[in-house]
Amino acid sequence: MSEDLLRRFAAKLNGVPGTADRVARVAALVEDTNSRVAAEALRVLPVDSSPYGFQHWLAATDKP
Amino acid sequence: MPNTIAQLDLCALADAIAAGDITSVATSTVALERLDTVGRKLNAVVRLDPDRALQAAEAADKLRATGAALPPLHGVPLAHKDMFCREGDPSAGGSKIRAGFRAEVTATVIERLDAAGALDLGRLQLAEFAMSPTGYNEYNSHALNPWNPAHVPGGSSSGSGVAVAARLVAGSLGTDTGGSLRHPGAMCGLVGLKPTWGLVPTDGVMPLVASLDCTGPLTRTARDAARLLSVIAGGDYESALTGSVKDLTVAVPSGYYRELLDPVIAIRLENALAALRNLGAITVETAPPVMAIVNALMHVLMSVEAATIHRRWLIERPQDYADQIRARIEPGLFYPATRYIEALSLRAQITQQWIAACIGSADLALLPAISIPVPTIAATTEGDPADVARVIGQLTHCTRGINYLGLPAASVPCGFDAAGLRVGFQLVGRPYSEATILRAADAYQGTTDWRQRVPTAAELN
Repeated sequence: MSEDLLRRFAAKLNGVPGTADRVARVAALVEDTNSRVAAEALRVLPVDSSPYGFQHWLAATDKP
Repeated sequence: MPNTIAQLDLCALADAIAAGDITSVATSTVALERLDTVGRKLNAVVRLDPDRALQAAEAADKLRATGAALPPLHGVPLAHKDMFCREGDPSAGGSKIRAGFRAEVTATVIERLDAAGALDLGRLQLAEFAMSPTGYNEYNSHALNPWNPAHVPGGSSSGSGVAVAARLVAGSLGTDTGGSLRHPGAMCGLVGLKPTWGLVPTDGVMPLVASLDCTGPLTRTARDAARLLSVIAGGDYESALTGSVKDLTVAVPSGYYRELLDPVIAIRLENALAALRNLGAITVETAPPVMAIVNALMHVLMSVEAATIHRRWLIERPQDYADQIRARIEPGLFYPATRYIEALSLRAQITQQWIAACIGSADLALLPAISIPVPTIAATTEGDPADVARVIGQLTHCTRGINYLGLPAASVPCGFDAAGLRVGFQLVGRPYSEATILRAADAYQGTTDWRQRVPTAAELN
């Protein structure tokens, strides 16, 4: 992933210029993590998924 | 007498006060003195409130004298991680940035402890913004492991771990976002219980990652943890402690969970498994799924939510963060919103897969709490940043993924390493299986005396 792209992300989209200066140390981690999650989601995430699904599942497993 | 009081665990202390064998004033006086002396030497204390605590202790003793029915923690002095708010009191969260912040609300868990009769002596040290598995805190300085002050106590609930292990208080609330109760539990020789996500209220507690944050107890025994959990979760976890595990099957996941395992720790875990088998439990081996994806999903939630909370301060006060802490937050500024939603949306199915693979038909999984010997403070603060990051990553190898899964888990002390530092195993269960975890931990503790070992730094010998 382009470090320059990440710099602009930090400085322009998040307004954190100091973070932009430290991009080099996190670029590899961000690229690796992003790739893993993106690939897994493409592979297994159902179309009817929801960010609230975990709470619903937990509630269903709760047996007092 | 002061040393005798300090040696009592939470349930013994509560029972002795309820029976009139000791007073709450005497108990609170001992705890305050020990926090102020031993606690400050170990850098475990942020602030104490002796006047308020002793006034409450006097009131507790007067109430007992009337013969009134007493709540389960009547007159028992406690102190907690400095991120549990009480209206009007300071709550800095281990940071320079929140120094001077005064809470506008009281945390529900603190209100529940108040209602259960517990006394609140003050607040304890933690990692800056609760963001370090070692207890790292440049601003307040690091808390020191009572078993060897050159070593980290584990974090982020570092002061809670130190205070309970050094017999300053008999129990303490902490929080766990990536292992922050289980790390000090393992490294100080305590039971650190991370409940199922959502079981215990987190309102009025400084947030780090709302999707992962859990409030729980650090205590010397599983029974003590059950009593505190009963109060803060609003249930009965103590009556489940039957001392028997004859009906339990304990799974032992291999692969990822054995990758970094130190040989001495491996022996301690095998001895713990043998003890559980001797008690009648069945043990079976299982194989975990690919944990790299679980850890990646956890990292996305952790860094994005932390970066959301901290973005204003990263803009306005970046110099007031320790670099090690800022480095954990900043990656969250770079992930697209789609990754964050995917991480949330995948959570239920990934958790079900982990349970099926790691627990299977068993009741619990037994994992290392930490895979490596407790490191020195120097090994986690000095030298090549890559080496420091590697050690810190190794410390959370078996803990951080459990927070993404939202499952209950507890560290249980099971001996010492070659350098005399503590070793612990970790029990993980299905959602809301805290009673089963505590029952197994309690039965195991009944066969060992690890919980009774006292560090020299406690100054009780």
